[in-house]
Amino acid sequence: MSFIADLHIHSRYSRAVSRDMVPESLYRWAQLKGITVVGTGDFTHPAWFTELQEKLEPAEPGLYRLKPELAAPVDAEIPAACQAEVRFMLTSEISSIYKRHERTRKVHNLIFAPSFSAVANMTDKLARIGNLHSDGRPILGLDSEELLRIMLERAPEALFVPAHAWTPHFSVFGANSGFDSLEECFGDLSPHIQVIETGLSSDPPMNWRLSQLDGITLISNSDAHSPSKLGREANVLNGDLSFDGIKAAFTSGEPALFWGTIEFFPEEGKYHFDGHRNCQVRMSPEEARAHDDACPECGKPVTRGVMHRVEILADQPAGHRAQRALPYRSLVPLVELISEVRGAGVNTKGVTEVYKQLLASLGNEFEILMNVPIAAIEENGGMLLALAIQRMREGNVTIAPGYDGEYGTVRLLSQEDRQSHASQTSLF
Amino acid sequence: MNVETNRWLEGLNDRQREAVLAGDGPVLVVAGPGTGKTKTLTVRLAYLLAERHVAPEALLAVTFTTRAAREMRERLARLIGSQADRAFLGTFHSFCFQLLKAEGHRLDLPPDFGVADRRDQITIMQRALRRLGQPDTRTATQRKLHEVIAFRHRQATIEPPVDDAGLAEIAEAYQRQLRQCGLLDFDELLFLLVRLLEGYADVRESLRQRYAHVLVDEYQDVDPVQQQLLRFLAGDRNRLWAVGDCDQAIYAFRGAESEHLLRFEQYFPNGRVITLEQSYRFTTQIAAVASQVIRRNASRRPLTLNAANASGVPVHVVSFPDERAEAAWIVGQIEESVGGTSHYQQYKGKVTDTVSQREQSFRDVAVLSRLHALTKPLQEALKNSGIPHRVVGEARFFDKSIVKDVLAYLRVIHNPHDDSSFARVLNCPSRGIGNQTQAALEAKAEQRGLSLYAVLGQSSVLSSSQMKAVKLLMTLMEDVQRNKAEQSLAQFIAHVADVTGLRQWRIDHDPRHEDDLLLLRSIAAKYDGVPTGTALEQFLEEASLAVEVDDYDASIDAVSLMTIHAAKGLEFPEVMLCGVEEGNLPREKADLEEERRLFYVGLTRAKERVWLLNCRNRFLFGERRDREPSRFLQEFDDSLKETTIMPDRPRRSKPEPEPGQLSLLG
Ligand SMILES: [Zn+2]
Ligand SMILES: [Zn+2]
Repeated sequence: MSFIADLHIHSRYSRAVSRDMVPESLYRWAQLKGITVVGTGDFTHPAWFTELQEKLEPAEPGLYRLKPELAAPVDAEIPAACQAEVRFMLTSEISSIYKRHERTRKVHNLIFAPSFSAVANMTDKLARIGNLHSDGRPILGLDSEELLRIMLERAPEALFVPAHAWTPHFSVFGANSGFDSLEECFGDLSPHIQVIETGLSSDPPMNWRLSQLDGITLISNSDAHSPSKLGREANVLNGDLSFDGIKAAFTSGEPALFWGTIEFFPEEGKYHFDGHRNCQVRMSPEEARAHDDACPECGKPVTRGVMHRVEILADQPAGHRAQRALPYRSLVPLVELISEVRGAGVNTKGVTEVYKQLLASLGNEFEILMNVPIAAIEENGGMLLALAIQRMREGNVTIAPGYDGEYGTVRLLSQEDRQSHASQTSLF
Repeated sequence: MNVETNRWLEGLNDRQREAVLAGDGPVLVVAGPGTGKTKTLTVRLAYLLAERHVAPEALLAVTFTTRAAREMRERLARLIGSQADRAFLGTFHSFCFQLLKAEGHRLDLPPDFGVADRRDQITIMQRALRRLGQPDTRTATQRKLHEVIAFRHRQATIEPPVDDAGLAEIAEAYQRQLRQCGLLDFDELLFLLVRLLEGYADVRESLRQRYAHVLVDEYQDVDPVQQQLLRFLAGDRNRLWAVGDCDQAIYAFRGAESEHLLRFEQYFPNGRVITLEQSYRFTTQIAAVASQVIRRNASRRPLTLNAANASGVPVHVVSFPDERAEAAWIVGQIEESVGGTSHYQQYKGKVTDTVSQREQSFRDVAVLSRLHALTKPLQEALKNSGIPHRVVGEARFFDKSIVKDVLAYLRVIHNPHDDSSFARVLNCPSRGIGNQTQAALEAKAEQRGLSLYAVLGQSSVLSSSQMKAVKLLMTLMEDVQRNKAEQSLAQFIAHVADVTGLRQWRIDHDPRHEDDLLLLRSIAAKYDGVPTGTALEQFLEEASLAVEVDDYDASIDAVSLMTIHAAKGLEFPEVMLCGVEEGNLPREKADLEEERRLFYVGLTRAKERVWLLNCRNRFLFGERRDREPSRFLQEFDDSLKETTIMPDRPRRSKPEPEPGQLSLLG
């Protein structure tokens, strides 16, 4: 059986996260998106942890489901075409800010845990180190290596994954406060790092250029802060639907267990290119090098993007395929496609209506983006949308890359496309 | 001179070298903040060993805190290796403790005496007061304890002794109770050693023979009794080498007198004074501000700090409408210092300079204040922000409940007649012995002049079920006694915590006790290989002499919140000094020079940047009051500072009526 997992999300107890990030919404949106296993996020937060214990019940080993009495009212509102089982995995992200080798480091790490008791074992210790109450993604003055050690001591069966490994400010390879290698960050414990999360701004081929990542499995998650962002990136698994099954798929990188990942177009990520947001300056790595990494507007150093950072650490040519290279598919969220077709904002009522209607007739979002025949899309969503999805599936997209915290913008349709189709058909 | 020595000396500046190479003494080294005091002291010790061929056993170096003693030992060991272990490098109290263990029989001290900590002192004072029929509430007890301590200090140092029959009676009763428990308190360690040296010429002589050189750290903090002790030790040969800084004397309230430092030449006409002024700690700006301010003090020695790092920024003075604004600003500044703690802040532009490479982390920032109470609103704000921080010096490790429990058991095992510890273990875990029963037992013990332990077995006070529980406890203690030789101290501690049921009992209540217990065991682990009986004794000594114990986990990065007093001897790249206001720093009616020194010590903890913060209005100790910026802010050149005045909070559209108006209208 093949299923999709998105394991890095945040609850309403994290900063700058939608109030709607509650188990019921996760359950609802996982079905709309086509996700089978969704991370709970934020298991270190005491209130969220209690809420999870109240609302979830054990399902397959190491996984949980929403209690039936809570699931039923949600199910009633979900189009039959999307209805599916949803499982929860206990996951969390920790922000470590600390000094190592005389420099300040800021690294986000994910922990996936198989049970409430494993979580409690870890949080007992973490609560003594820092404050877990104020933020679902707590800031700890704890070295990443120490955090890993605590996990190995207290919950050895859990899985440790450096999060969005390339973002400039808060990641293991980040240009501003990260490291040049996993060894530098995790010391003697680095063999325990077998999996990293690539983040929105990088895709597998960029990571394949580092020989040090040859034996590492690359995974992808949405890091969603609101329910509709679920599944922006995700993992497609073939193995056992259980904690150990998923962990084995990740740690082995075995194609029989792990098909591969669903990706953003990396250019769309917030930190793909170099640049300076305040001055609206976006630069490719070559352009930045030509300017000595300084912003031509204000003269300050630009924020170095993921592309540039990868080039610095890369020791293999572009196009190199790693031993563990797995397939991947680059997708654009459906609402963005509808929004482009209609020329209206992603949050407008019209776009939302079309989105709902498509899901009701064609099934969940991943189905529509990846599998539903183009003809069926055209029938239900019009020719322009069908054309956009076809182009997306072919990788035929135009993107203004993201930089310094600004998302990139994707375009699939040209002015000509609109003109030639406008005469033939109305949208619906 | 051998190669090694030359290498050490090359690492010193001229003045430091002069201090190291000085003759036998007496020598006073006046060392400004960051001028390499500990380094100079350590190289002096190494030099005496290597070049002057002094035996390590003949070196005595005393300091005030276990932290300073440990640092001295570690540094010396790095220079000369294991010889360092044979010299006495420790605190005044540990020195007295050791000598009294060896020679205390002359003063009729029991050989197994222990040291009373603050908690013991209170229990014992309470009992003394009860015995005298005086009020024994907690406040009354604390006040009396304070008075008795001061009284004894005056007794010990003033000729002729003060006459206060009332206090003398209490002091005597208190002391009798202490002895009954086989305990000495902190001050007595010193008093008794001085008495021993006064009374016994042979002890005095043998000590003087043994210690060819006496070195003292933090000389400005020496109190008159300690000074007396030093004079006995140094003897006529005056082999005293002292290092200190009168500008950093902030312990007058504890009886310290920098008098002997100020008038060193009068005490020791042949004495030599060397001043260290080259500071390696801070920027020229901070050095200049500090020097200008402290220059206003009259009772000091001339010392002008020089700093080499001219790359600094001006000292920032920031004024806030109130403490909430101050707290919010500090949180923002910490975010700024570490370059932001989340994507969100960076995205919202809350951190202005996202692109420069910062090298500051939380541990590089300290917020200092005169009192912990002053930073309560800040603690709240930091808690909400999620910024890792620790309030240093609040809950001391050895004050944690399970640690106190275990120590009480260990003390009782070591000395069953230690009543104050016995009283603690009696009902811990619960054995159904309530306060009343306990009070009855204590009364009985007092009546017969026996210890609690001694009256327990024959007591008619206990019910049969209580008796059964107590019998069990006593058998348990005897078993444990018998088994102690077979285990290391760390194992022994685990064993005691298990068989007494203490561990389970505490952990059921709060699982975090497990970690405290683990930490205690890891402290005890350094006695691995030492016979448990000896290890136990040394461990109890260490625990009771630890005035300030490291509960400080260096592996965790956090902003430190501490009092200026607690920060003495430490340094941080960035320091925020809170509450630089009239009435707080300086405090009203306080000795202005001591207050200025306190400000100076706070200021000179900073290496790179310092912010001096004041609130125009502050709520403190139940009172909201308008406050003026401290006069100290006017005591240095304007060119050295950058002042920011944060505007008042916007007034509400409809001003709230004053209470007076309300009643008129009503
Ligand atoms: Zn993150
Ligand atoms: Zn710019």
